[in-house]
Amino acid sequence: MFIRYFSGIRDWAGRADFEFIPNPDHYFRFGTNVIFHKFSPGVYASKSSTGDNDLQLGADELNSTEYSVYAEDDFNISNRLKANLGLHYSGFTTDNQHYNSLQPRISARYLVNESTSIKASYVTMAQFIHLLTNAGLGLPTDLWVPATANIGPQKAMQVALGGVKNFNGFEFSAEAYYKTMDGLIEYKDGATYLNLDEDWQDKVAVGEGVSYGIELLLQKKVGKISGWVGYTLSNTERRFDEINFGEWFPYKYDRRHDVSIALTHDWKDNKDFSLVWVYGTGNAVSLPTQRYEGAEVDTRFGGSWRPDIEYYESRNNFRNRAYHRLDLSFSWWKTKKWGERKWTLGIYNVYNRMNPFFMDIGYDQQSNKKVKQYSLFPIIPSFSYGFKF
Amino acid sequence: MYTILTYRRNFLYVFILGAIFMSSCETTVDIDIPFEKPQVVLNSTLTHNTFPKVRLTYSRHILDNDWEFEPITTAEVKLTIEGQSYFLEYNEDSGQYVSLDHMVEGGKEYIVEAVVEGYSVVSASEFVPVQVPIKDLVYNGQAHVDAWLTGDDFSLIFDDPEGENFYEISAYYYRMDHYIDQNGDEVYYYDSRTIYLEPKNPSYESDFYLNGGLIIDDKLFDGKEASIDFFTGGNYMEMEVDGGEVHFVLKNISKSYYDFQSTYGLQDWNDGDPFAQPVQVYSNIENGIGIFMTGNVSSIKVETGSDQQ
Repeated sequence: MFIRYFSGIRDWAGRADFEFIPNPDHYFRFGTNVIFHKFSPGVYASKSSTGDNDLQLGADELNSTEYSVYAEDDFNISNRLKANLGLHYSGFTTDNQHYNSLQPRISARYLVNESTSIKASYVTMAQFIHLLTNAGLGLPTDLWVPATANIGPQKAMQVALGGVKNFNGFEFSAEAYYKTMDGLIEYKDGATYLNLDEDWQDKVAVGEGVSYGIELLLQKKVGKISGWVGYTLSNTERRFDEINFGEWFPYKYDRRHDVSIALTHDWKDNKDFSLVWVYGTGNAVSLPTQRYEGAEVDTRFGGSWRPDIEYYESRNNFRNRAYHRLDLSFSWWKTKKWGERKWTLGIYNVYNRMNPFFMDIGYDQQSNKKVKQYSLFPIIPSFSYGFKF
Repeated sequence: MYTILTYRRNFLYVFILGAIFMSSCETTVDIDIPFEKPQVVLNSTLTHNTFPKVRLTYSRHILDNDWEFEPITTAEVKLTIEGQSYFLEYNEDSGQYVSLDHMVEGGKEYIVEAVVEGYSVVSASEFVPVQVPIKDLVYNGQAHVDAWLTGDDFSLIFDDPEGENFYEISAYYYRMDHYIDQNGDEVYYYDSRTIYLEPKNPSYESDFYLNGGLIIDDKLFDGKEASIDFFTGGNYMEMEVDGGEVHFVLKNISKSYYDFQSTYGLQDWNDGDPFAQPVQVYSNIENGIGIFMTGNVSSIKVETGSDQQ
């Protein structure tokens, strides 16, 4: 017999988008979109070898319908000032409950001169599907779960201010943003997948979040060497009345520093060489850093004992090792009578970085307690052949 | 024509590639957990009409294999009540700081301060709740808890004072007996056990085992008469053995007591479950960790077999 835990979403979607340009100063876009979701969040399945003892436990399957209608206009106010005004309406029906949301959006761009522009935006958003993350050390068993009659949608508001500067074949852009979120969900302390009596909705708390940061991007689109270098400095925190004693704590996927470099060198007419390097601050996880003696428990018969307590400074108090990786590839192609064939030789994770997948506390062969980090993908060479005609 | 240099170069390529692929088979890394210095841990439970006791220890690194927590013996520990302070002396036998000159009094606020060399003053303050008497204990007869088990059906009744209150309800069985040994001497022994209480109202159920007792807040009966109905794990009122006693204890506890027991109980209950979310145990200690908590006890005793008549 084996037992497995799974979560799944099946979608059937349809959409229609339209554009209308009545004159050179207006560019209208409008459309609609419908998705039927079938969620199977947090289901245990057991299956016997004879197949006569199959069983499914946990949350029931849930059907939901999500739809949206939008309209926006990109219009010129003057030769230098351009704005986008939009309105999105979205709705979600689930579990005999209907949610809807009207989301105004506005953005503007001002051309300072031929090479410089500045931009600003204000956006409101609603999301009817939540990402429910595991805060512990174990396998990253994140689930996508829908808004329900008990758990509402998550809503966000974001303001951003930025600018773009072109010079000597380069484009440099910078943008600062500030985002607030409501209706976020997170597992309560002690919630466990092994508790089959409780639905996932009983295991979560609802709270708020904030995210802010600055994004810098330098691009080169022309020349033998092209590509981009990007850097983001950000901070994302969350707060729930029932978690971390009501104090703010870092979100699991808070990435304080994020760097990416992608370069392509057109070596010869039929050969190129490309390089991608990514770096990101490690995920925030909850890890006990100390142990201490708890208050004396009286057995009422003259005896007593003192428990052993694991100390967490806060929810998501510990950072995994940083994630970084270098990928290289070399391609060469040749034009044939019938078309073109291309060979590519690549190496994924060139310097064999052991990037974290999950951690575990265990013992080594000398019975010493250890925290071990497990990784998935070491250095992987690849070779591909393609053709087009 | 291959030369020795060519062979050496090829060998070097093969060696480097081999080393890379061999190292890529290793997919685990030991992680260091920073630990600058241990924290001072202060634990104390002040109960009305008992001598005050405070225990001080140091925390240990999570990967430290030593399970013993040696007491801090050289600290200066002081209790302050209504502006009056007194020091507690270290007692070797109990490993705690105690005062046998003062008793804890309900209805008063206590401040504890501990001076430990190399640390800021570790402190906490807590109000000792007033006693809430048990108004009545009603035995409702024996009841089937499930298809196989029966228990005694009780209602514990008390008046909840105004304001936010928390309670711990527990019960234990006690019976002293004796026998004559082979030398003709009388040997006394006692049979004692904690009684598991199962509340009828699911709101009072915990997600964890708390030494058999219940720990509740007063949201459902704020400022009114409370009747807490529960079954005992086992039958005591119709026991055929004479001379036993069941003690029911109603402890009016501070919010810190409630928060500590709730969070510690949950952490302990989930110990070893790899799929459980982490649990932070409540602490109210300034410049340290641990718990300073208070309570005030009322109890009632019933004799076992008293329903046999």
